Amino acid sequence: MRVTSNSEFLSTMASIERAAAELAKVQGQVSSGRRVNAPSDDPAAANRAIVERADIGAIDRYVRTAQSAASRLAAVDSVVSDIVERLTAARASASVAIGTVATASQREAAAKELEAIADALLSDVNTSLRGTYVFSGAAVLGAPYVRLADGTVSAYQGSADTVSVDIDAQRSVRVAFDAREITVGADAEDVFTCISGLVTAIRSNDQAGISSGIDGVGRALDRAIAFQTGTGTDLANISDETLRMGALRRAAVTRVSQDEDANMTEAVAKMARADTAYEAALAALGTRSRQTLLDYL
Amino acid sequence: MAGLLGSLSAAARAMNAQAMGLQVVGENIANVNTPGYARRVVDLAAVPPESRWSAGNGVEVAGIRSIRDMLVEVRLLQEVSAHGEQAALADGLGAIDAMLGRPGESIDGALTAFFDAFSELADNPTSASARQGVLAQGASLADGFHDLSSRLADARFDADSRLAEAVGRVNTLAGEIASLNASIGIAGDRDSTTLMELRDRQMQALQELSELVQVHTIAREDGGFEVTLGNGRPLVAGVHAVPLAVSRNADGTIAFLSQDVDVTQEVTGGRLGGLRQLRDKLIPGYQSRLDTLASGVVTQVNLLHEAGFDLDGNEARPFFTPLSGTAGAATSIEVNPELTANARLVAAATTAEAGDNGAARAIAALRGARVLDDGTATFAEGFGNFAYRVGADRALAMQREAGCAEAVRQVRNLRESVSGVSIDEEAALMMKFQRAYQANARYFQSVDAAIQTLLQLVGA
Repeated sequence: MRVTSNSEFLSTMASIERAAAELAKVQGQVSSGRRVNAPSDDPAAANRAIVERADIGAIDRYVRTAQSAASRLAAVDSVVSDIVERLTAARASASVAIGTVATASQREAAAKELEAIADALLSDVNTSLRGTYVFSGAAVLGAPYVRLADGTVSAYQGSADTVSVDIDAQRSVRVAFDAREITVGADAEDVFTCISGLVTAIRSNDQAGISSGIDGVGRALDRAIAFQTGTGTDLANISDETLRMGALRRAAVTRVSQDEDANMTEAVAKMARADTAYEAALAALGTRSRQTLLDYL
Repeated sequence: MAGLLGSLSAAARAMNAQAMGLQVVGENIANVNTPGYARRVVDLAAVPPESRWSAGNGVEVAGIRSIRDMLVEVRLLQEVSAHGEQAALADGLGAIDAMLGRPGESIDGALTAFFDAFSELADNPTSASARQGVLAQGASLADGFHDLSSRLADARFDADSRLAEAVGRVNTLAGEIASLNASIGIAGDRDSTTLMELRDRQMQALQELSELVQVHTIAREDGGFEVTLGNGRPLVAGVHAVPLAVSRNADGTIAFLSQDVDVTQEVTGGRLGGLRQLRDKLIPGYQSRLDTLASGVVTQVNLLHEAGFDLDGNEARPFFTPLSGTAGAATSIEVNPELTANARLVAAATTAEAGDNGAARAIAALRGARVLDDGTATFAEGFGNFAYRVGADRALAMQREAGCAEAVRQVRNLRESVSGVSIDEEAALMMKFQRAYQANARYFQSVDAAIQTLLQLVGA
């Protein structure tokens, strides 16, 4: 086969172009640190990375929601702790009036304590966080209970619908509650009416009324404790879920990195090889072009 | 005396023949880098003796030939055509591939931000800023679809202008080949240097034409070529070129016309074939995929949004302006202007209660819902598949282009080995002819000296 000047030139130029293209490619990988800069670099990896990134976005969002919910539930837990304390105190105060030992002034003092506790309980169930009421169910813009003009407390003003947020695709926690879970439960009247009746019974030394009222407060206390247990469980679940999400995120980030990022050691080695190949191709053209038969004529 | 004079003439003829050899060497060296040039060789032939007692009459130039292997030339035309097609595809797809960018930087990122905004709204259903965030991310997502859709349209317009340019060049080359056919017919003598130069130009024009469109050639008796497209549709018939035209069909696809006849299916290969495939097959496929994705987003989000209630407890309106159909969805997707004007109209609730977040949760949960492709893919997977299609098409075109380029290089090398000029070889030939010329001149000198000697004897 004849080898002409142009065929040598074409072959060497093709080698130079190939080497230059490879060098440019690996230089791009080394400088950006990424193996996939466009889908054509590795279509399957780009596809996987897009889906993984969407998953990471979802995980991040669930974690933010979980953190926000945890913060809200911690506040709720604190409020319910107060409610538990107040109901415990109410029961203790009312107990003073049981039997015939207590004097009228002692009963009056107990009644006043109970009135103060009822006020505090009203304040507790009307707690709002970031401008929304916690115990009004979905009707977060309105207080669950209000003090009426005659000094009594209104019936429940909120919604029966509670509000939940998703802390995972399959898991949610409640962040706005129906106060009646604590204040009413299965009873015929709410805890405010119960305490109000208890106050009246203490003042009138109605032992049956006092006993019934104390029982009512006790049931409210049980409901508050049960509610607090549920909140604590939710907080624990959020904590577990956050840990699980963190593990999922790390795994997803690793997968994305494997798909998208350049293996720097390999890329640098490839760059050195490509650089050598490029130099060799240039040198080959230079060396071959240096001499012809004309030099000997 | 007569013999010596004959020798003198033979020496002079030989010197002329060697000088012609040197001229051909000079021509070859001069055209070493001329595209399409096929090296020339001079054919020398001994002049037969006049009688059996004659040593001969030296040498004469029998002719000058250009060295060309038509099988290789035809194969080169085929390979160049295949390369042109893949190069046009790879170039065109490169722009689309680049516009998708890295994972997370295109519509996929906008989708994540959009669903994040609804999650934020679910966390704070009465928050004015969360509502504004949903509207802003909705608009950003719509912009992402518009941008990608308009870039696809731009890529199609770009293919249009390239097609028009390529068709113009095809017609120019067809005219040039027809004109060369005429010149070759007039030149007549196939061994003439003029004819060889015309053939060089003709092969060069055919090569350029093949890069633009796949053609078939039929050699004419007079040395010219008939050039046809596909199933024998003439592009060059003798000394006439049949112009190719490009027009647009009612459905937006392009049509190639030859003498008012639709020859689109016969126009294959080359840049024209590649550009047509890009313009009428690949880009519409991508556009359709993008429209399906946009339509899916609009339909699913609206379905959940319209089932919800706004902040004032009223039944909600569509979040996105309803589409008239899937086609064009990526271009026409937009957030309902009524909502943009009043963020309270955004539905977060599935009940009339302001604090309910059922609708926002449901829309946020769409990010992981398999609602595309008959319930088999999420939106992210839908976009991932779209990016995969573009990336795989381009990677394949690049791979094929590289393969075709290598094939072209090899056939060019083959052509070079037959028709190319080797400087070393020409230098050797130059030396050969120069030496022969020197020897013949020396012989001439000797014969001349012999004649002088004879004449001196006569004179004495």
